[in-house]
Amino acid sequence: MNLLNTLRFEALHILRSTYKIIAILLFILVAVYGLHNGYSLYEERNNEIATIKETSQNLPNDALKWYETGQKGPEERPWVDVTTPFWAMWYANHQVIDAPSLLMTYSIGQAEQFAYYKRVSMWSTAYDKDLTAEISNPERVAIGSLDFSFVWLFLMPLLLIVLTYSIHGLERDLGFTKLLSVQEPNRKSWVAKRFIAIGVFCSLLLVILVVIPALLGGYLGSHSGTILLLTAYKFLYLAFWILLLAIISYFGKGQTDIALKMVGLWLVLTIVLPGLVHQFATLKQPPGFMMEYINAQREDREEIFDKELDSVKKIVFEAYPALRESKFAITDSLINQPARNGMYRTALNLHMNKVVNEILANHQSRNQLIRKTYFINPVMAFQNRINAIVETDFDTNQEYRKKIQDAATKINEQLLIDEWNAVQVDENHFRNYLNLLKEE
Amino acid sequence: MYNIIQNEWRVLIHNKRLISLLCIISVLLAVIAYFGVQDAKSSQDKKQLAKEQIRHQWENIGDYNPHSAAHYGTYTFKPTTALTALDNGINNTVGTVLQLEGHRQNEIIHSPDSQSLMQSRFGTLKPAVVLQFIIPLLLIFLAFASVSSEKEQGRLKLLYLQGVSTRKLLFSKTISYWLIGIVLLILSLGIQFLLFSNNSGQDLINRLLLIFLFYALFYWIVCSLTVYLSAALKNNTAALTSMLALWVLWSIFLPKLVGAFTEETHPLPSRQAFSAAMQEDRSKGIDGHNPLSEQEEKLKDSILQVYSVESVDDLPINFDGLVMQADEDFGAKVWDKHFGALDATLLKQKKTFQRSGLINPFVSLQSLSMGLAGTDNWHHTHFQQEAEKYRRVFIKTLNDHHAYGGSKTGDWSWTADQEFYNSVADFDYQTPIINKALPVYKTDMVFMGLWFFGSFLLLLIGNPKNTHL
Repeated sequence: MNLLNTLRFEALHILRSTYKIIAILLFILVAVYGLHNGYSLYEERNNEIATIKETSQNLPNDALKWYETGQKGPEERPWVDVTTPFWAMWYANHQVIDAPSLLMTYSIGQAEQFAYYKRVSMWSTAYDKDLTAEISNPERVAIGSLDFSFVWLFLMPLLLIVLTYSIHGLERDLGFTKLLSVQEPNRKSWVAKRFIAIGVFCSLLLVILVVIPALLGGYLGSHSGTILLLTAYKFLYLAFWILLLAIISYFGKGQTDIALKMVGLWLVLTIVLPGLVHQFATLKQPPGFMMEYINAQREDREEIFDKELDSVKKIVFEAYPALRESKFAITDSLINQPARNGMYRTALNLHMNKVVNEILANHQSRNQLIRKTYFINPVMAFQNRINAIVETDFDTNQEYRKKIQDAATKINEQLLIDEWNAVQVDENHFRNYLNLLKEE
Repeated sequence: MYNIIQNEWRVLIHNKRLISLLCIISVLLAVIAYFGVQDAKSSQDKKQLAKEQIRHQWENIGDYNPHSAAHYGTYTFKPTTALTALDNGINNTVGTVLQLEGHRQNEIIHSPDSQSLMQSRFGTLKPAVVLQFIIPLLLIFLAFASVSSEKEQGRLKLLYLQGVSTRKLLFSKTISYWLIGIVLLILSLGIQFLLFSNNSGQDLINRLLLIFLFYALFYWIVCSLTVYLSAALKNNTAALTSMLALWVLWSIFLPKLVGAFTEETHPLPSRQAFSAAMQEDRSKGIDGHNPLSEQEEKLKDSILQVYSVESVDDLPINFDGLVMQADEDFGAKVWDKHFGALDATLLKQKKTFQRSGLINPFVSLQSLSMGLAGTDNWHHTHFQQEAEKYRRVFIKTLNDHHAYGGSKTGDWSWTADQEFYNSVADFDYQTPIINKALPVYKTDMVFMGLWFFGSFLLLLIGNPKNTHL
């Protein structure tokens, strides 16, 4: 029987089995629901970002009005003076946003665990306590979201089991294997062709489930490369399961034996091994309580603020040599309080950069350990690869945190230069502040 | 009945493949129970160290202004209960570090899952994962052919001739397989108990006994349904596929579906909306750092009246401390309103989720398992609420000292000595005893009971066709 005939035969076989049709329909329904969940999250985040962008304009608009009318700040807060760099920068109200990827529709990944917007000021760091994930039910998050990647990586193998456990098993149970040998002398090729046929059906299903949302969303053209890569990985995953199940089917002793082994394999690959690796990684490199960050925010901060100005100046001048040419650097005796404060604040920012980089490196070392286990934990390897493609993985969030840290440094740098040059902020200068993080 | 059970076990014992499988699962259970306990102990030790470090910092704060000390604040770490080793619940997804400081009620941050790549979709491999997912599957595999194979091999007639009734047969078969689940359950919980025997208070024993009870009920439900289907469906394969489909539906598909549904029926506010609403309410009250606010003027007038003086400079106390406490008192009302509403919505979601136990006993088991292990959202919220109660006392102590400790209004350079800071008690959290938490799981217990009686009745009055000769 050639492949085309096998395809026709398998299609008939599926169509004649009510429970296989129900399984396929149920799978499609769940997949569509998973896609819907991913897209809903994308929409929710976009709406939230739009609100944030809109409301974040209030403070700069207030400041612009004050520049126009010659006011220095709100009447009820007389200590605010937007002509000073500090308050002007404060009212610039910089937001650093991690815009959701459109491809989140295909995998929510770890996106629900992380914050995606933050007001960044001169005091901000990448691990501030306001950088918390959206409010959600922790029990629901612990159970996990029903997204398309879960459907494909965890439920698709179950669908394959439903569709294939009778291949070769039924013939063995009914004692037709000898008859089969007469029709198909090469048993391996017969089993392979039947599994390939199932694989072809599932591939078609995959293409439909990936392409239709992209067509409806209108991003098939703009994201074609990524969608192709995503489909390729999902196809590879399908092939991986087809191969494993075909081997079980070939060596199986009957339907029950095959079903037992297939479900056992699914259990090991999707629950036992990932759970074991998770436990191993937790024991080997336990997640911390951010003590290095807490200590930096309390003890190190106190230490920096207790230092003599000259010793702090030395550190900051080394980081920003341009400051040596500033007004206060030349005429040392004139240093005012904001310039003094700015020096300490920047020294703290420089220190926090170091601490944050250490934390990021620690996390990466834990990730390296997890990556090393991919060869025994293939399902999570695929999961993390897919999350990376659709930018809902841990590394995407690390990049976002780095962006926050860089933005805080940039704000500090500009602020310090202006403070040390005793700049009086006017409307034009304020507009420069507004554009400071434009590329972010 | 005893003879059938004995015979069933004799057959099982002679099945080498089954014995090997049971041995593998027992070893797996023992190993992961051991590693789970090691993990919990190491986590407890690390938290204790972190707690001591934070306290050490507090006890070495030196001469410090009380309000600056309120901003310096303190940190608390979510404790690891002994039964975390059994069921990790939501511990990987929620934070572990909570900053307690003046002016605000913070949220707990830095969850373990947010510190690395995704490692699993069903959580760390704790005994609960094996007990919830793997053992029921094993029981299905053991029991799916229990009655149908008797009929296929012609032994059913023989049994009837010996006077065995259908009811007796179904019950005996169910008990035979159920006992295997019970043995594995005892093994797992026993290791748990032995490894934590040094701190096994009565509450731990009560919790373990309840965990044992509900897992045992769930295994009964799984075994009885499998045996019944084996007796009711036309062949082994049909019984196996039906039970497998039910297992997938119960443990993989429905919990996620219902979880998503509960969030849609009782939506939570976005963080932005939540913070904005809180800020809006907060702005209506006194702001400790805004001396020009109307509310502060009112407070000032009332205090001047009480002390019969003209200006705050003439007060024998520090008015700034009173303002800070008034700020805290107003803030507390705002936090209670908004966090209270949030907790109420989460509770509604939990109740809706629990109600799905009517069609899915797995959900009831999961909820009971993490609830009894003290790792569910109720226990998490309890910790947060207790920490907040402590924060309020902690900040009030600092504000009172600021107000009545001997300083004058406006003297921000005034400091309290180390002795005072040492006298401020540390936060010592105690997990609530299970009796306090049980009402939360009433729905789960009722549904688990209903499923148990339903499955019992099924065996009692059911008349499956494969048992007809």
